[in-house]
Amino acid sequence: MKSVSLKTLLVAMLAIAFLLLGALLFTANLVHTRDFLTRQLQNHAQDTATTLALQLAPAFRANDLAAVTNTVDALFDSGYYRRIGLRRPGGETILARENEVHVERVPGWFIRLVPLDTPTGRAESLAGWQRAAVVEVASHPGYAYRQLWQNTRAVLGWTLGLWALAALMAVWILRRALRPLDAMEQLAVHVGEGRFEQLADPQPIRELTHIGRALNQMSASVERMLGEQKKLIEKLQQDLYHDEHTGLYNRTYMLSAAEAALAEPAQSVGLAILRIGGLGELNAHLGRAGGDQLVHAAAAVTSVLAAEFSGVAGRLDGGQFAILLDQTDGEYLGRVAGRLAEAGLQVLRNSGAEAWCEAHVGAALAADAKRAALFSAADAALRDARLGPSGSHRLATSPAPGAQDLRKTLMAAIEQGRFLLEWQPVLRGTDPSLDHFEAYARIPDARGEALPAGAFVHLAEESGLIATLDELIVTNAWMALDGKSTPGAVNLSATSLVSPGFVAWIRGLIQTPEMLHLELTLPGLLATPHALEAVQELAQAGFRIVLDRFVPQTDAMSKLREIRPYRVKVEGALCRQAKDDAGTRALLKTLCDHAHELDIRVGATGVEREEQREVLCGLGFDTLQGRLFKNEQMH
Amino acid sequence: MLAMTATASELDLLPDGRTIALARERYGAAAAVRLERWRELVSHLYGLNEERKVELVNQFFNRLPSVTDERLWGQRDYWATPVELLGRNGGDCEDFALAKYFTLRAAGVPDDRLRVTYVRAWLAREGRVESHMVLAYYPFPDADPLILDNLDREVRPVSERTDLTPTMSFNAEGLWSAKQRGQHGRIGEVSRIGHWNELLARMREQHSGVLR
Repeated sequence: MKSVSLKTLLVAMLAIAFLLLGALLFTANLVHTRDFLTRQLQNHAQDTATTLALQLAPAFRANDLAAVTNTVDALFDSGYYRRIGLRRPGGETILARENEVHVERVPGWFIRLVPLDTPTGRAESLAGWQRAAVVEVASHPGYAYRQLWQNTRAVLGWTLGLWALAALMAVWILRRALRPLDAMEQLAVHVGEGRFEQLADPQPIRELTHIGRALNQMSASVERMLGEQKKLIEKLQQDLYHDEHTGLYNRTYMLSAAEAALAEPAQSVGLAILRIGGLGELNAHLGRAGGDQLVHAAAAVTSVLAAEFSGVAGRLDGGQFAILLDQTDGEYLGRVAGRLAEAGLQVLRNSGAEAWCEAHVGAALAADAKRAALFSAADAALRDARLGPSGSHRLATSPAPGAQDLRKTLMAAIEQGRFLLEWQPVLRGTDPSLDHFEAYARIPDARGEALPAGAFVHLAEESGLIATLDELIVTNAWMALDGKSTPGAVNLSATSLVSPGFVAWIRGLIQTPEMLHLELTLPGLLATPHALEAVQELAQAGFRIVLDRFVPQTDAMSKLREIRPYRVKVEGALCRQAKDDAGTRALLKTLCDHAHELDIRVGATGVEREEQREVLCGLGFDTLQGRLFKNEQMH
Repeated sequence: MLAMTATASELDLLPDGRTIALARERYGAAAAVRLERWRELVSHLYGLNEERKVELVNQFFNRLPSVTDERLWGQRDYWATPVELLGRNGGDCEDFALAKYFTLRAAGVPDDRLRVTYVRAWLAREGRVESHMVLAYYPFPDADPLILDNLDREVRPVSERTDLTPTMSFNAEGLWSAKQRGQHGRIGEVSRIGHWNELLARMREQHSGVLR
């Protein structure tokens, strides 16, 4: 059955009720008027018959039929009579005058529909004591018909007019009274979307007020429950992976993150370690408070620098702080190490600890290596740096090409459109079937080796070429996907999103936006003004927004609710820990539940082994990707 | 026609025991006796020839005195029912003519032979003409009628009543509409509540035992 709105139903019922009432009044009026006119016709006929009988009496006594005829004709020719007849009491007709019934300005159907009786008035005329004639008079119904028709039309007009007015008023009142229903529907939809609002109270209709209060209560309860869940996730995350003094990531997390980054194919990972030496001395001279202050200051500058260079900051132990960079190169890492050493020295100066303490930085770059190799290379570089004065930094020898070569390679690739897309399958968690592919861009360099995205993305960002690069990647990916039924995902830079015309361009290019998942990182979105608005616009256009490398920290959890992406892909470092660590499993389970309540899918990355896959599936991950699943290549 | 249908019920106008008892209460024992007599008269009339019926009915009512409406009812023109005429022991010319009309109709005289007639009456003693009402009985259509008049004790043929000039005659139906016109005199007056209807209504009430 086709569904009808309550408003329409009520308006229809009221309109029908008013129409019936109007029809009833109209009919009553019509019948009453007709009866009234019939009685008038009756009286008119009877009066005329009586008067005529009296008038004719002398003529009958004189047996003057000419006078009788004249009197009847004079009366009849006025036109008010349909028939005037005179007959002897025995029945013999003396004379009869009859008009055809012809009613002007009244439609025939009306006459047929509403018949008017034309009653006959009778009186006897005397000639002396003898009854000379019976006078019979029937009035002409024409005038009555015209009167009835005019009256009917006027009443019909008024009835319909008032009916329309009443119906309009009913619509108006109902619209006002039922307006809260729309607000309630909106509230329910918003609660489903994780937006918790409250309705105005009270409503114009008492029942709606009650429903409104119940909805408000529900909204508040759901908000509270989700809030508690969110806090739990944040607490778990904090306890497991954060250093309790500085709030930075702890050693466990940094090791895991490095391993996850190194697990990505052909990715250069950089690690810079800042060592504040002489903390024991400092504690001995200034007390523990002085040492703590210095540690906090060092943690703060590490964190700031990590954010600036899109890295992850952590505290490895006592006086050692680290910044982990993925998708980097030697030149970039060198800059980070230099800035970190400078900042460390500055911290010592500011806190007056120079006399006892010193700061050194060691950094190393690795690709396709074990995390232990990366850490020992960085340690070796740090030992090397400590040979120099406080504020020195050293970089382990770089296998990556120089920045100048890389820039040339990038320009050439952009100009010639030379890209290689490597497609990583992303599988569903529930059944191991293919969900979509994620594209990884590679650029072949002069030696014919494929450089990973990490090697040139920051260079492209610095040189303002990132939007062009992303456009090329999207175009290539879209061409590769053309005609396929499986969707594909591409990584975009937040900078590209806000570059003029990019959003319009991608909307114009992609006609089936649900086939292209756009992956972005949350820190990138937060660091780029207006990027969130661009993301909302793309999501509304039907693109599926994916938050890549998601880590459930305080800010991120709040943003999840605000951005409401199609999917979050949890940072590989966390996914790796799940198999061995019960705390991580609890964290990821709660995160999956929370995301599902917000209608967000959760993806795991860095899946390398079958046991890992099983654990992650059990936690509620919707998709899985990693080295376990073989890549495909498409040109 | 309302007036025509009403004439059917007026035939059954004789008072029952309850009405007579009420009349005794209201008008006194003599009134009850008069009503009893009237009832006896009507039952006695069956089987007699029409001329005899006319004579007896005229005789029965003409024993009552003539009194004006104003004196009796405090109204200029009040049409009394036969029960009221007999109960109050008197009435004017209209009350007599109507009582005789209804009684004869009840005794089986056809409507067609009876006409209540407005006449101009020459009052020789007073030397003036007065508007008057009598009942005319036509034994057959073209016959000279017999006149039943409360001013003249005897039923007489019109040939003996040179003092009367007829103006208008009515049967029950016509009587009603003429009265209407007489009372209101305007075309377009539509009220059917006139003397005639009131009269019939009162007759019906009195038949079922209600007296004013």
